Amino acid sequence: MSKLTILCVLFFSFAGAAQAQELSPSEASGKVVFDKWCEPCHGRVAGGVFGGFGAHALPGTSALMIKYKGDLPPVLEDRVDLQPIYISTVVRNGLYGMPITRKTEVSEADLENVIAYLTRPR
Amino acid sequence: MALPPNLSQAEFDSALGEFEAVVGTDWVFSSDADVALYRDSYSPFWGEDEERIASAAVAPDSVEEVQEIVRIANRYLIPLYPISTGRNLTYGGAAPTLTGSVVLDLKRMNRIIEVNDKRNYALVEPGVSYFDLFKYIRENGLNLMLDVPDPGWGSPMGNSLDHGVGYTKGPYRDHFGSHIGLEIVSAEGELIRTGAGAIPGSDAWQDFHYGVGPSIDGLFAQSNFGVVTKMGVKLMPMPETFMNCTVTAPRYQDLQAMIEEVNYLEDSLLVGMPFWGSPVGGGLFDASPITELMQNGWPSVEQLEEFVTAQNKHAWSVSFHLYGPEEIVHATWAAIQRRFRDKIPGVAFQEEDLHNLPISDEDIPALPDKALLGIPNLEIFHIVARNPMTDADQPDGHADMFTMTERTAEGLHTAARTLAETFIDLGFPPATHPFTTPIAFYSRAYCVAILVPTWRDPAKNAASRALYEKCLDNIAEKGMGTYRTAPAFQDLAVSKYSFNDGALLKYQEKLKDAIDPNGIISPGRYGIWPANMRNNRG
Repeated sequence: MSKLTILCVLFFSFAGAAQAQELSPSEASGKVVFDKWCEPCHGRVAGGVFGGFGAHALPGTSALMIKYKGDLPPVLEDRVDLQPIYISTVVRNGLYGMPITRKTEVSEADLENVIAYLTRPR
Repeated sequence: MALPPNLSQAEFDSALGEFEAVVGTDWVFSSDADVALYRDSYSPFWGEDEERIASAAVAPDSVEEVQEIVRIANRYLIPLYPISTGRNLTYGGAAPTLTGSVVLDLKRMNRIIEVNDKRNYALVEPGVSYFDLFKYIRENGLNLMLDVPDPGWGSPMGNSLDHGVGYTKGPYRDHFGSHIGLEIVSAEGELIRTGAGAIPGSDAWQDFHYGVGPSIDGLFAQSNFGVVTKMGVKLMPMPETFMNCTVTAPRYQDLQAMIEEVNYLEDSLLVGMPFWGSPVGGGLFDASPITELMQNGWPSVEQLEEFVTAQNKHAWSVSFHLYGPEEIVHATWAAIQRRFRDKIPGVAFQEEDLHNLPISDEDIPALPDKALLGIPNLEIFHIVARNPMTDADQPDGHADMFTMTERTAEGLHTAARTLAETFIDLGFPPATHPFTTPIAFYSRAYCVAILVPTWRDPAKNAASRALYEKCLDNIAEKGMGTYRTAPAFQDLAVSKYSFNDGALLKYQEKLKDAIDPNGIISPGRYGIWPANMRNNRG
């Protein structure tokens, strides 16, 4: 293992631990909702492989990789540019193949928490 | 937003007030923004006058609340459109068949009432999703495998009631066929249980589906005779192992012999779902060899054999998941190879590693065929999400059409050719070709699948609708129909089942008029219009 790799592992381990500790109650609730409703399409793929079709790839993550062509991260949880109005508009209106999400599925409170999670300061 | 037919705003406001008294103000949705959430995201009429739009939605939490809502709807003559999770994408989503209906959103009724891994069933409410049921089974260490459709966020009940399908063994893939016992709120608000559930005190509701006398369960699938509020689901005990095995055959004309052998294996319950493929059929993103082959029309058998030989590949493949104890899986695979070798010269075989079940949590994400192991996921959305094929012109949805054929090579080729020629006639590149393979969702029939894109652009949608309707017309002329479709196409699809001057639909409508005299449950769903709305038939 190279020195750089060791440093990276240590950095991301600590970063991950700090991130988990720093989630507010709203952000933590938002993470739970995200994992249930968003992650199956927009999640981080095991092994970090994106952009395929089928195994090892998730449709939303792959689609955003194709759409943004590297200008923005394909994994939503890696984005730091998402605006609350954009998130709520896409959730409630859908976008391309992503369908509308109703309030009996993701309530307004749930949606606010997801927004808090995705737009939290990092 | 729309009003229910023949209702004034004041009458509707009064009805909404009564709904609110039952479920609370938070669970009646009547603002424009809230009602818009019940639009069909994949509507082939998006933004046009013909788009089916709700007038409101009401979301009960209990059977008693459903009964009250149905009684109110009868008093006001308001059409109700029940949905379970409303995720029936490509088949209408959450949007009603009739504009102005109130969507009866059952998502809040999401209780998993019982899961039994000794008698192998679950009893669920409408709002339970496949994800929910899978999580419950895993968290409780139950020894059961689900059979799931492609998108895992749908409801076992809703999917079954729309004749949805999955990927494991034949009896489980037909989801309505594997239901066991229903609880129904009738169109007049009465509570009914079917099978042994009709015996007070019975503990065999999810064991004995007939009871005595006629079974009425089939009336509640793809229909509008009541509101189903509980359903039993037969579940497969978790197999000890699985192994994926593939047989390939070299010649174009080997297909019929392969099909006959697969039918033997399938109907003997020896294999999981057969997955058909064609090694010469072109890749998902590169169909150019086939396109070239079809440039001068449908090729002759001789041309097709020459094409296969030139590709230096086998013409057909079929893969099976074998489930069961390791000894039986290996013995079954040995028998399969012997039987194919005896019947088709030149067949070849491939087997993958045998895996123990259940799959661990750590191994699930990298699993290529999750649905074959009953693991709910959303990976099918690759076909509608932006992908290398659609990057330049990304559709907003799709309307699936499955042509149902008998399990023969002739039936398959007739469907593929009819669909291809229809596409070409209407100026679309053909979606089927001589090496199109069937999908064997139903163990006793083949589906030939086409996905027609839908858009938020009316002009493009008009072209898509014309294509879809022409496909329905042309396959019907060859004696074939479809198994499921969006409300926009239901009247047309049903009209093809017209034996003896449409005797079947006439009978269904007699039942409708008797069971639902006010015609309040999902008017028009799958072509069944109540007497007072028959002029709505499209």
